[in-house]
Amino acid sequence: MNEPNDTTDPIADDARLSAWLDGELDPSEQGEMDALIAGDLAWSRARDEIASVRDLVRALPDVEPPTGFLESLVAVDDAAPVTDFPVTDLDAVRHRRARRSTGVMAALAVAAALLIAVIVPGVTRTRPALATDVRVHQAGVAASGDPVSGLAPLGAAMRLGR
Amino acid sequence: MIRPIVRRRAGRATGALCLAATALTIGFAVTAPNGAATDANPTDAQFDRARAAVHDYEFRGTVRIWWQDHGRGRHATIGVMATDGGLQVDGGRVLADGGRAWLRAGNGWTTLWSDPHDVGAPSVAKKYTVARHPGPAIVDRPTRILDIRRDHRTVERVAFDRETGLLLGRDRFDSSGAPTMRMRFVALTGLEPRHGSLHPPAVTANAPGTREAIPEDAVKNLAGGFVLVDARRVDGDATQLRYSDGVFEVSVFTEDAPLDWGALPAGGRDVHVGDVRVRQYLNAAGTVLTWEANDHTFTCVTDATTTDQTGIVTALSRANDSGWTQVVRFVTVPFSWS
Repeated sequence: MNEPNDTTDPIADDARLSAWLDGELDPSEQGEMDALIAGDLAWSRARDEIASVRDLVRALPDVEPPTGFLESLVAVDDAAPVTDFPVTDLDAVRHRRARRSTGVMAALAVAAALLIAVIVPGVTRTRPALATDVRVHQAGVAASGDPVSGLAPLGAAMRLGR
Repeated sequence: MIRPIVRRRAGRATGALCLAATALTIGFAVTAPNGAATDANPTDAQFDRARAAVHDYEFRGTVRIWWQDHGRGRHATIGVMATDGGLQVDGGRVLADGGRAWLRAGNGWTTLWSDPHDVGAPSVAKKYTVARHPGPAIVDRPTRILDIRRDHRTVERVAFDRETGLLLGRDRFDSSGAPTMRMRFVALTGLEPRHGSLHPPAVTANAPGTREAIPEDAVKNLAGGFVLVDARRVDGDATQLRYSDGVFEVSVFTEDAPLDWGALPAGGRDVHVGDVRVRQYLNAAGTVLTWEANDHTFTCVTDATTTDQTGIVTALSRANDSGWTQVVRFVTVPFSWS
């Protein structure tokens, strides 16, 4: 007579053993499991352990829940209305994120502008002092030509600013 | 090599006042009057005599100026007074003596011009023909008229007092022959030889208006017979190059930055010289043109004809170099071929 093997992992097959004990396997699986238990000591021991646990559990008396337990569960639900729970407004979150992104972009733009202003020389436009130019020119005209006709125009309003 | 012309006018008035209060001041010694007519040409000598008359005589006068301002006639009446060799204009705000000129600035004075008559200016006869004839009396004084013509068209008519040589009237005409400016004495009293000598106002040691050496590589001749007479420090680093054709003068100022069109004073009009946009002002002194080209701002002040103005604007705008030397070269070269 051949010695039965001892190779089966009992944890992996607890569910199959439990189903075998409950008669829930189909005929082919039932026959296969019968062969395993008969030929493998590990399967045989696992079958015995599961069967003994089943017997112990089934031997325990029925236990009723404490009085008021179910009512207390319902009362907790009633006392804590949904509105009192922290609520996250997803639209607000999205808007905050959008505002935050806009602010960051604006800050980056300002920083970039400042950087450009420092690194790249700006184009400075000039405002010529037209009135001064006219005075200087006319003084030259007076010096090299006639003083009266050269300088008298400076007494007229030029409306040329500086 | 001519350095680029740079203007730094910011704070000029304040700086001038501070310097006037703190810096050393110098008083210009009264120099001998340049009353003697020094030019051999009769027309040039007539202007020399007019200049000498202002220095050698005293008088109080009222001058009326009419000028054309973009199709609209304008006029102004200005008081002038000559005493002790100095000429006061605009209530004494402007003072001139022997080729020098000062402008009252706050409680002090600043220099507009500090050198006498330019002997290097070309003769009137070089470009113009002159006709002389007796003229009508002005403020009851007989006059002699000089009609200055170019291409058989009068560009300027000048009336001189027969007795003293004082210039009593001046008419200017455009290239088309249309009058652009008229100046007349409408009152003249107290005309007599001067009694004393002017005490020139004290100005700061670094006052503008001093003559600078003309850069060696500057071409001297401009379009239309204009000759580079001198270069002057206007103030700070600013420089003025001044050209003359014997009758009209052109001052060109340049700044090495583009023009701030929005900051220009009202009253001007945009015109186009070729494809160059120019802001044009017409006033009693003549024409002021300002424009930008190649990141430079140019300002031209002149009483020259529009034909000459067009040539100057066109030539300056073609300059493609940041240096003033190149600007001058571009102005002059196109007209040096003839």
